[in-house]
Amino acid sequence: MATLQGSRISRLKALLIDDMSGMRTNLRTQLQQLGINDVAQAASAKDALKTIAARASNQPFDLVLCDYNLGNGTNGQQLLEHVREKNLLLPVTIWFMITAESGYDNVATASNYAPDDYLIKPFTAANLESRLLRHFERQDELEPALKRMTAGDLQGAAIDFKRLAEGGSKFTMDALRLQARCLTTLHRHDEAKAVFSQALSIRRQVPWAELGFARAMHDSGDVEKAHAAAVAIAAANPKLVGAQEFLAEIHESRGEELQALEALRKAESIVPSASRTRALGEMAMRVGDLELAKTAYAKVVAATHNSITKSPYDSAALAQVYVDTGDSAKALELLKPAQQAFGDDMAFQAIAAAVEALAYQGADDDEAAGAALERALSLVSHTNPQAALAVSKACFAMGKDADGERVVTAAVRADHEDAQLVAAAKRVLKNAGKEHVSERIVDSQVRDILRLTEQALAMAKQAQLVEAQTMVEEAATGLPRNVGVLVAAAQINLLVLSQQGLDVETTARVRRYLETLDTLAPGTERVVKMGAFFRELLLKARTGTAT
Amino acid sequence: MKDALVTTVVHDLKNALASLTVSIAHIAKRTVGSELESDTQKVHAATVALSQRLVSFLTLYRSRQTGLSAQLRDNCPGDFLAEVAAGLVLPPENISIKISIGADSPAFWFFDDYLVRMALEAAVHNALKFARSEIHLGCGMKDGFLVFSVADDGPGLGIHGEPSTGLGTTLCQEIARAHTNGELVGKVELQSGAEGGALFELWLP
Repeated sequence: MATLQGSRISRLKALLIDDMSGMRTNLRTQLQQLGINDVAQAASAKDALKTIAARASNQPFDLVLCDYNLGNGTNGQQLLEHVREKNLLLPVTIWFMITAESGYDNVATASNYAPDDYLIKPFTAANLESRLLRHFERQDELEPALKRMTAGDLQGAAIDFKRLAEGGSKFTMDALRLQARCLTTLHRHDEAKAVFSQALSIRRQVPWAELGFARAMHDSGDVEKAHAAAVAIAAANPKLVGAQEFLAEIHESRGEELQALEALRKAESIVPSASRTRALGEMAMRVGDLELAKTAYAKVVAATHNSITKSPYDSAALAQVYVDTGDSAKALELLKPAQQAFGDDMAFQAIAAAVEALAYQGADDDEAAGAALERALSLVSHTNPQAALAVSKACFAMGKDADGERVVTAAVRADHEDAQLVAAAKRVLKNAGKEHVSERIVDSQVRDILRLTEQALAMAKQAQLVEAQTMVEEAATGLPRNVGVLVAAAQINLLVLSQQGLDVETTARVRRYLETLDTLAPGTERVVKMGAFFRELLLKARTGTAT
Repeated sequence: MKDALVTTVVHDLKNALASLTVSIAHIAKRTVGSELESDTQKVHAATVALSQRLVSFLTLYRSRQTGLSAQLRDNCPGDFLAEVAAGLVLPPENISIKISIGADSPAFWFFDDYLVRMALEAAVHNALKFARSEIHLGCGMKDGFLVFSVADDGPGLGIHGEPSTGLGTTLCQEIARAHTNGELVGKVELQSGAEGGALFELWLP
């Protein structure tokens, strides 16, 4: 067994990330002592990303040993979050974070992406070996359930994890955490709460279980209790970045933007990252703290400059702040290179043209402003609702109210169930002094589509399948990315298949709806259930038991 | 300011020593079976012990400055104990001392494995000074606490006297106190073993 595990270790392809060359040499020596000879090295986060990218399709890494402190203001946690968010490494790649004993308390923070383990300097090759063996044992025990989870069978995975936890495994807490994660993704909040409670009955004050329980309370509608719990968790765990992020979400959902801003500020100070600084900038814009917004976006633009995380949307947001603070020239100067570099990103081009229009208006160049706005409007139909809202903002600012209203209407209709989008649409109208049309062009649109889908579903239930199908098809053609409409369309077509047997056209349609829903609303209970029902129908048809 | 200077120096020394230890471990592995084996093992064990003492000092210093906070997570006590035993680097003069382990503990318990390892290593280091032939590492449950123990077969507690600096004992006490569960707080107990020798116990709630 030891030999088997030994060869499992020696086969690992490793990446060392440390800004100190002496440390890299030591680590390499220690890996060699364990028989690991395929060892790449990186001296910075940027180098690491390049190396990871170069090996992604050919010999991807199995093990990353990353020092927490990477110099130049970046740290290993930021890099880990980026790598995991963008799926730059395989999910099974082991990530060990190395930290000095003095910094250990600071790095052990719960965020969405935790390393697989921590190694505290100084450590020996034997320490590293025992950590790897422990990791393998855990991985082996959890692997069947994890595979199900990765394949999207969350229901099956939750059952597997439950079984593991009941069996008194040494990895019980991991099994409970993963079981709760599956249930949360399936929106089975009461069951998730029960699992978090089970973990907390084993040990009080386990941060992930406390935070998970609070989230489950929030998601099942108990916002007040969730808020109180989140405040208590954040106070007891000042380094728990997840608690601050959760608090920000609660405050945002309750319209308490200043409190949300404060929580985001704290989260960003615990583990700075481009995405957290960006979230801070967005909220600062929303509450009108233009100086903070400018600082935050400038920080993101500078930090991601020359990096693969560079996003033109940050430049557009910073340019908008410049426009709002009366610095049109700076806004135009910032936009130009981004517009050239990201020519084929239609959503960005629409936003950039809208901001450009406002910048020219600020510079009293009405002709250029008008031309830029025309360009923005011409791009709206090729873009997403968020970009459309940016264009509508420019329309209202330049007195093109009819265009602005038309664009807002289309944006809301594109996905009326997206609460954040609807709130953003209302904000645009409010800021433009057009709150009075909000009912007509936001709320009534939402009601219209709800009525339409309800009507179609009611017709289907009354056996008027053809009429229901026609009605929902029309809606889905006009609103191809509206989650509510697609769900209704998939439901009605599934009903047709189950009652009238499989036909090629309807089957293809259902498949298309479900695939789109998988990208727009992955893992949600209704989508998962419809997927399972569809697979069952196909299976029955194949085995000749179709009705 | 003076204190800060001392810790900076110790920190640098610890890092330099860590590099040296890695190199010596590498050499030690390559000299197995040669006439240099005993000498290199001795140097390796000495650097490891020195390194542990520097880390102990820094941890204790941090504890005094900002308090020691334990990062509690679920660990399998039996596996952990085996890892600690396997990671011990004994000097050649102690090579005849048998390190035995015995665990009768739950599948998992919450403790800071980094700090507890440091405490147990310090306890073993102390026991090595007195053990005749064996040191036993154990863990089990007592009164709702997980108890790690280090027992030696030396002359017993009365003869042990105080350790030279008390660093190890103080560190273990601080580490124990950093482990809490609600109202319960960890503790250290030192007593004579039932069959003679000294018994160190680290109680974790």
